[in-house]
Amino acid sequence: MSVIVHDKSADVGGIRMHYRETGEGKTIVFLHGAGGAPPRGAGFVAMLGERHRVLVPSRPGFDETPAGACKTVLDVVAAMAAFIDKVSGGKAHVVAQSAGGAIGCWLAVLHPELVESLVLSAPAAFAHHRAPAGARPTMEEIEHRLYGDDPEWVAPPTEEERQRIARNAQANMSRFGAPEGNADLLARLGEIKVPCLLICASDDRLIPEEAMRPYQQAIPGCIRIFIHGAAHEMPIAAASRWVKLVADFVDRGEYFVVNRG
Amino acid sequence: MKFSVFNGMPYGRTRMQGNRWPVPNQYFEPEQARRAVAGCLAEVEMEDELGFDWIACAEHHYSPFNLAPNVSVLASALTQKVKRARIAILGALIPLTGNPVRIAEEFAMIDNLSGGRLVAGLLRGAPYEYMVYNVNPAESRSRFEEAWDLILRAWTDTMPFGWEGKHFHYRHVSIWPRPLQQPTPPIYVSGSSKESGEFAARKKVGLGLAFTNLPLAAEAAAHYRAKAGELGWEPTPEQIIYQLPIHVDETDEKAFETLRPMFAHSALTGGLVDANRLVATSGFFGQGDAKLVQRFRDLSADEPRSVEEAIARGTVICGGPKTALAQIKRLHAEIGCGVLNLIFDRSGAPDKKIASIQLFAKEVMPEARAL
Repeated sequence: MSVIVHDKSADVGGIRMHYRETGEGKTIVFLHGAGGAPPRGAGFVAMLGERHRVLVPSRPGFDETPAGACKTVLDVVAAMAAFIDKVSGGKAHVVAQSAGGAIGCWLAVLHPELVESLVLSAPAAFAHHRAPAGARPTMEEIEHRLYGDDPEWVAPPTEEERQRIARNAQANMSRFGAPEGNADLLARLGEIKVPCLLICASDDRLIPEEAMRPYQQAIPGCIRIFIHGAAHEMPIAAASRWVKLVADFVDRGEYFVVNRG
Repeated sequence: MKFSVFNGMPYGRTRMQGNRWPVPNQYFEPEQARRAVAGCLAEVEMEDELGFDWIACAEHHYSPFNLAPNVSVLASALTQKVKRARIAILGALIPLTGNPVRIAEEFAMIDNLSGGRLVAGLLRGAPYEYMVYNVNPAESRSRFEEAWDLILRAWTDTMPFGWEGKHFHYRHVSIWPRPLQQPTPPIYVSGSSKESGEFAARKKVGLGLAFTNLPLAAEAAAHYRAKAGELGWEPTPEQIIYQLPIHVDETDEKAFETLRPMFAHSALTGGLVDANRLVATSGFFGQGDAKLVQRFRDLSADEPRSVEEAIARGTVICGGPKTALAQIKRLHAEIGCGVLNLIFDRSGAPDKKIASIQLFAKEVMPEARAL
């Protein structure tokens, strides 16, 4: 099935927010990681869009979306709440990847009326692996850490996209992605009442496994599942299996844990 | 050095002519099976009392050679007979079953039943085993590594988790009991292939060498130690097990005469050789294992034709106590193994087997322990 991904924008809280949209069905809002919107050659958006409406906003400060008045994580959370309210029609399944994890958690804490369910995919709110000492890693080494040995690209990222991802990460990690900025969130994870799925990559070289534990320990009913052999950026590193899990959780809610054959 | 007795609950000879695999179970006779079970359970009690360090068993299928297609069932029984020695499962063939969590549960249960004496062999299995449950041998490595990771996580992760692998899928795993030995029992993998040795080095676990010979085992052990060294650690002698048949008698002559019939007719003919050849040449071994593929193309060609040749190649220990001790010293020196897993069944006669075990424990083991 061929799925067309459209580029769109909307005025949200005084910010012109750019986003991609595809598919029909239950609405999924994908909150990207530190690199911004996924490369065009990442097939998972279209795969999810085969049975769902998928919105992929570029958060304030990322890609073409200006930071506007956003200076803190909570400012971004407010902007994304406004986006969900306006564009998704009032409620959405929130799927948060890596640095998007803190935003997804805060949305579920502060705006539960907007969050149908929460999928945390290698969320990076509380800790990162320290970069190894010595020479700075090459782009190839960074991409290997992100995507692993056998990423499921439809087409690999272009040089322009690589530069965009690097720009996003450099500009925004200190503002919106630093773990030390999320101490308050840790204390409030227990307030999350929506169904929550935590997807972990068994070969994650960016986020230590201990940093995944707080979500499962604090969020009531949080289900933790590993994708075996996957690197950090699971929507690309193990797209088929990741999409299968996300779609199943969105579609079946609490029945996710029951084999349907 | 430590000594393990392999006791796979052998059924004994059948009325079948020649060697076929699978062995048709029309030859199964309940009374003989009853005696085999009783004999096995009595023997392990004796072996425990004689001071062997481990009592070992293993999973094998479709053959009277070993009546333990589910090795956990046998190991559970052993826990109630063996009061002192470790119970060594060498091992379970983890890529074969569709349910590694079940293996994790059973092993943890056996560790609890034995008071923390389990030695856990998590193996790929010999090539022919891939015909048993119709598993693609080209997936063997990938299934093994995934099953391994899943079992280890099931033993050590203290919060419920789900698993989305290429081969295995679970939405909830949280096993009870966990192993008594924390974080895990001692673990071994089979390591004749280069990939297996590298895997064992990477995971910092022990290496078991079986159904091989001295030069190949020495090469595999050296490769394992070298890879471990590259990764900054050194295996202990106990982390290398070498398995082989043994027969000890009062004199060399008596021992040799007892084992000669074993070499008069090749045991490796017909179905088993064919099954191994078919699977070994269907992607079971990795790229760097051409020697092993070649060996499995015709296992019977690789088989020693005499007791003397078998001793020279390190595929059997045979002789009086002093001779056996000298052979053990050689194996220890060339392979660097710290555990010998000994198969006493090859004499064919139960009374000779028992006598051999007792003589070994009395005359060989005390001195060999010092190695």
